[in-house]
Amino acid sequence: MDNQYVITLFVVMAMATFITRAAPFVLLGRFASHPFLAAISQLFPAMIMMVLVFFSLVTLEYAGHIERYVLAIGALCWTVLIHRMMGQALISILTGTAVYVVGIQWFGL
Amino acid sequence: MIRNRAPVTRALIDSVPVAFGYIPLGAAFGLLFADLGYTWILAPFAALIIFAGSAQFLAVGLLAAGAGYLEAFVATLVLNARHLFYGLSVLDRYPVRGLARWYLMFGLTDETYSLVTTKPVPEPADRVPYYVALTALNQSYWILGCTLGASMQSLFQLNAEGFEFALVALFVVLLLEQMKTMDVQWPLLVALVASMGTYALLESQFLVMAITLCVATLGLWYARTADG
Repeated sequence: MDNQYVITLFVVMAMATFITRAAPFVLLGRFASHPFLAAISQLFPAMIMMVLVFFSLVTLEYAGHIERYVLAIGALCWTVLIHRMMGQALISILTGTAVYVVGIQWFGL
Repeated sequence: MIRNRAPVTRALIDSVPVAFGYIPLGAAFGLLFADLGYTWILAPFAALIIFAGSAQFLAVGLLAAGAGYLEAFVATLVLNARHLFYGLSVLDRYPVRGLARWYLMFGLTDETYSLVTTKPVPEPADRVPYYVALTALNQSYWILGCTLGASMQSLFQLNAEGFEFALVALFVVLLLEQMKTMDVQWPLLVALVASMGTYALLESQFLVMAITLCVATLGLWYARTADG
């Protein structure tokens, strides 16, 4: 396995992550207080999450199994339902993942 | 909460719920990462220098696809763009200079942010030790989880098939949390249509284009509301 590739990729992603976290501190007074940012601060993160939900769904390995699409939608609905009922992020994530894993590994979907 | 308790003790108590979240989630990352065949020690390395759950899960996908460095850089910027708005709301609580400031900026994860913004602001003298302890404790839980998952996977060769759904579930939960503070729903429809449309055209390369469309829509919306 090419360790140099992994390490470089991690360093690149660490830099990008740090840039997004440090930017508002460093840019304070210049762009951070722009009314456009204030106006979209509520809407933009939610839109990104919607795009990422779609991205993560389509990048699951379906390998042409139609049952897996159904399973993924089922596990997604389960996650939403449990989160709406209990509001505990960890329980929603772990049980949602469990539904998908059990469907694939135990029921051979 | 008892106000006069030492800041580090208070950070320890406040961070317990994060430990319950970070250890299993970090373990899921470690498991998926080691399942690619890489040495387990690189999982805690990622936790040490990246310290971002969603970015590290994305890294697993990028590594599996053999992605280029530029692609990884752009994808991470876009994925973590929500952090741009986190800093704005903690600016007045964090120290204005020093090493502590840089570490606190580095460690401003979703969970650290939610603790910092929901727990009462400590006395000025206690702020730096409290926030640094909180961030460092959270990162240590994350490193512990990533190490456990990756070392278990290299020892026992578990069947990791299906665990990648943790990423979907994580984003769904983050979306539901974001929706709580929204008073309009149209941006979500725009984001969904932009994703589906660009995916139909570009397949797996759609991410950057979909997000560009989202920003452009917000720009148009802002220009119109600012005029009217």
